[in-house]
Amino acid sequence: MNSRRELIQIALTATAIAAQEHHASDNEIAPSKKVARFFKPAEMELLAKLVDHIIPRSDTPGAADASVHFYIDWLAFTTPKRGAQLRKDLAWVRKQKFVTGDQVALLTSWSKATGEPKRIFQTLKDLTVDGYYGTREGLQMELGWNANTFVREFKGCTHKEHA
Amino acid sequence: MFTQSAPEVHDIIVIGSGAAGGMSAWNLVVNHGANVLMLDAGTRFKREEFWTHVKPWQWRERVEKGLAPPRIQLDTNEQPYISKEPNRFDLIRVWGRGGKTNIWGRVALRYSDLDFEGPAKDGWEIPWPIRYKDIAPYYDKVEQEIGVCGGDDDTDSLPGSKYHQPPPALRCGERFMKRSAEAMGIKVVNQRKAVNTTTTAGHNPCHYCGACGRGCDVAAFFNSTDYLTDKAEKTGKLKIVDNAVVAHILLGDNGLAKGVRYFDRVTKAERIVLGKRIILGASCVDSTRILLNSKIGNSSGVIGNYLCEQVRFHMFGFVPELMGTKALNDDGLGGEHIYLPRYNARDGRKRDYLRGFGSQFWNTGAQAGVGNWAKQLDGFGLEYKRAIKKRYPALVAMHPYGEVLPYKHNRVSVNGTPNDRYGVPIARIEYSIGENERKMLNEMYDLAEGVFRGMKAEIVPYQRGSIDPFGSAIHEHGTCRMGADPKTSALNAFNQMHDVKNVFVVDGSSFTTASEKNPTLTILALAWRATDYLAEQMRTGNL
Repeated sequence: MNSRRELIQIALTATAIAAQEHHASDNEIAPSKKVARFFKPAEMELLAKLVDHIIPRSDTPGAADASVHFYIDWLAFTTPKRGAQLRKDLAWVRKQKFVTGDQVALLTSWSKATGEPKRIFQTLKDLTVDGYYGTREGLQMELGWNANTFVREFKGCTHKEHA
Repeated sequence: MFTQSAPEVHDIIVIGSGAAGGMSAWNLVVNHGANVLMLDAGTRFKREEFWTHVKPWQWRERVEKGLAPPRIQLDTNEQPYISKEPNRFDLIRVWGRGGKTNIWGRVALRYSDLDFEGPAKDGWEIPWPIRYKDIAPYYDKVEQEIGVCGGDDDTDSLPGSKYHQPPPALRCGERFMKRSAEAMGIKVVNQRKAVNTTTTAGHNPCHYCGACGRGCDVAAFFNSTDYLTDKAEKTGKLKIVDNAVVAHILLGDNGLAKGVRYFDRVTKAERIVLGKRIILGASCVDSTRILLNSKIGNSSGVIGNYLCEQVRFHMFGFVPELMGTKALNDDGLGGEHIYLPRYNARDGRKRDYLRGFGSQFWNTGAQAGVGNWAKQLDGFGLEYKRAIKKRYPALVAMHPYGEVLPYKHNRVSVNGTPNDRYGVPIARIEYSIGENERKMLNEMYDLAEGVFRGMKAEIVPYQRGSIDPFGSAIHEHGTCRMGADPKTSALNAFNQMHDVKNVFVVDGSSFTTASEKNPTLTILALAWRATDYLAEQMRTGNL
């Protein structure tokens, strides 16, 4: 029997294949969402680490699995003013020796701080939440959302104990 | 200026194609065989282009490709209005076939005599010139025509209807909120929505995809285009001019309106059409602006004043029994399936404020939008991820709506405002709420807190007393109000101008008060009634 982690990897691979097929069929105007448009590779690497700390992989994919760092890159690309600020925020994170330090401890301290560290933490957290729960991985695989679809009969609450 | 060389004098000109204009044109054409020219400020919205069945991640993919959903709301860069902080009034307008009915909230509540008799009883501003019995037959007819689901259960503040289609099942969270409110002695009923749950009214039934706010691809909820104007057009008796941005109603020497001046939205060319009778249904603020710029019908001086809608806030929480359960498909009709009608007139206790409030419950259950509440939970990491998942199916929401009294100083004006791109003065909106609303908000918050605490819900942090930006309810009323006395009102009980007998104003501006209710069903009923009256006046040669 597959372990849960293997199942996730299978699911992720399937998603990736589906995405490739999708892009192959109508790729005239479609940039691959795997190509960063605003941030440099080192920034993307740092961003991936940050989003994955905020929403890590469990028995379902994490934020980096769901390419949330690319979602943030897209926002930065389309709203350059925001992008410039994010770039500064990432530089600040790097300056705190985040890459080589105790990353969880640093994030914990920023999450409980006030002022600039808290603002930067909350910005990253807000973007990660918005990004992750708008993906198939976050909304469907993690939360079990299966809606916005054709239903012949709306059943509503099906729990006898709630009637 | 270009005037048609051999101008046709139209029997009836209808301005606007939303609930008010659409109903007027449809009734006059389909039921009375009249010929109508309709002027609409936009073009048709194509249902097949709505992004109705686009999941959130697909939406992102499309946006990244440079695509965008059809733009339905009017861009204020194209057509600005003035509203200053801190009392900013958010004015949502849709210029195009069907107007706001393309994306409306579909809540279809009947007014009751508690609403119609309110001003006469408490003395705040002028009385309504009609009562429930005057409009009830029209509610019946509208509900049969457009299809409204709900219940036949009456309360003193919200009449039921034997014409309602079956209501949808309740979501888990709605069951809990209903039970909690009822434990407080407050009745909760099936929400009345202009969504077809059967085919009995001849429309496609809802398929419960929950995306009504993006426009319905099968027109399962009422929109003026599919339900009214398309049918009227098929008779050959309704002609619609698209992109006709009306600027003025023109007055003849005899004191009656003789036509309409409009500008082509694309070419900006000025046009004049002549007509014997004019029906104005361009939505509250735009109709008011047209009347003020036309300088007609305002011997009372009330046009533009008494703008009123509702104060509203939101409260979110999580029901303990639902935490950690499996998420269900909670889309349903899109919006709530229950409604809490006004109850404050029931217990005999005198309030320190006038009028009342009701509550809606949209966003309850496992919905696509997670961010707003999830960001407010503390922490990060696996524990944080688990905390979100646990709460996800347990979300409940309340959105109480309270009546804002008609105040003279809440107004739409055009004096000294800049011109729009056609050289026509834009609207200025001045709006604030008073002591009455603040006192009412106290009880509205008491209600929401009571319902949530009754369920032992974990409440998402909120600031007591805070309200949505003005205008958020999108229920503007009162700036061309009806009344019995021409000195204090602009319209009579049939939406006919006291001063200019061949002009009828049929949108929300004609309401004497706002009540706590969503107005569209009442707009439809009033427009049907007004145009029945007009048709009768035409038959007897009075108009």
